[in-house]
Amino acid sequence: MESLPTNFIDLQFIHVLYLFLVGFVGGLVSGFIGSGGAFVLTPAMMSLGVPGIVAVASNMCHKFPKALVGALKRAKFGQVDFKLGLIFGLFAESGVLVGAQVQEHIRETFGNAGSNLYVSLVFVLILATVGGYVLYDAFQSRSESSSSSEEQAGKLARWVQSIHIPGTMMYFRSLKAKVSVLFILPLGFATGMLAATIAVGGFIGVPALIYALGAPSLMASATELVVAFVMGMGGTIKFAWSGFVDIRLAMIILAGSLFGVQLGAIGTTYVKPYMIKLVMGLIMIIVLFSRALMVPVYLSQLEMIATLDKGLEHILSNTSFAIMVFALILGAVIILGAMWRGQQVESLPPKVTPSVATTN
Amino acid sequence: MLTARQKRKTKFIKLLLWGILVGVLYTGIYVSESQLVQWTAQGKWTFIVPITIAFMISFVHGHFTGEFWELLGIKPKLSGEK
Repeated sequence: MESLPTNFIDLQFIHVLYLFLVGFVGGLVSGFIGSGGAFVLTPAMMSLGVPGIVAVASNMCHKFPKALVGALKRAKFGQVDFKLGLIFGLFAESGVLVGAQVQEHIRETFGNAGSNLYVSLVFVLILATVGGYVLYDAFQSRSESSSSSEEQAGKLARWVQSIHIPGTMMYFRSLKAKVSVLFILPLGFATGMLAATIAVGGFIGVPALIYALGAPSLMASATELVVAFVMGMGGTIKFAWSGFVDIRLAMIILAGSLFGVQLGAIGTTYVKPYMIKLVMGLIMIIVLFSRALMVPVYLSQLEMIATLDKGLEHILSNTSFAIMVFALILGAVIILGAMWRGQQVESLPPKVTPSVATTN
Repeated sequence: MLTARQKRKTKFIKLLLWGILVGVLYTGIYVSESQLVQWTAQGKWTFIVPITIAFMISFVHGHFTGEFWELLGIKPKLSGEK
């Protein structure tokens, strides 16, 4: 075999197995909540010795075909609003480009530690505010789910839908309303910025679709897959143009994640809408702790606080990674558990479950 | 009208065919690993290589995984109360 270019590692069987499994769990969560698997994949690849930029690029390259398969699967269940996803995705793409520039500028000015600190602080800020609200709303929706089966648009979404700006209004079937594209622009842009910063734009995209535009949770998480496809495709072209995509890594992860994304998509047909918010909120809050642990490490590297002991730095880094993996596994267990319960209910005699569902 | 057994057999054959295609594609990637990595590392217009491979794998492997879960009896619940 010819020698590999510098940025590409020599793959062993154990690496392949590891990436396949991480890909499966990441795909499962993405198929269910529309995104969320990616934040573990980049550090997982880096733990094998893959340079950061190649890990991000290869992650992007597996993300867009996975999102495509997930979106097509969920479109069969009537959950995808392609028009909204494509428009949102185009604005998100511009956010990705700007976000990448900001990242690059921070890296040049403050070095890798500065860039890492910026990423961790954004993680903590977004996850604490948005994640906290999503989780709170999941518990609220859970107690209300017995009284009403259809989700109602919230106050903010009703206000957004009530604003009429001539020449910018578009009808979206997921919202059952016309909304000005001028509202979608900043939301999409912020989603792209976040995707370029922490690799998971869906942590803003899905809540924005639900709370700011008024999409039901199931449709929001499914439509986010279209957004992820557009962003992932654009990002892949950008990174591949510079030669950073390791196609082997991307396709191994894709092999596992396509099993997962199909399963996660099927899972959405068995659960009540609040489950999407619950899984998303839980993952966001747990990941928040993971990133918060790393803040003192980066502050110490930037000499903004007293230098941390190397051993303590090592412990904090490993604990942070373990918490991220735990977040993903917990999400997967909740999804599989909810599916299992849903299938058990389905298999009961019709007398017990009067509304028998059809399957394709 | 196909019986349940015949339906299962048809599904199994479909799964097998998609599986063979997936095997061919991944074997191709494995065999030409060096060449593919050399191409993609060049950047510029070779970006078409990873994009094309990603689309091909998503189409073929996407069908395979769909058939796989269905054969295992894991199907979506398309209507009814949640």
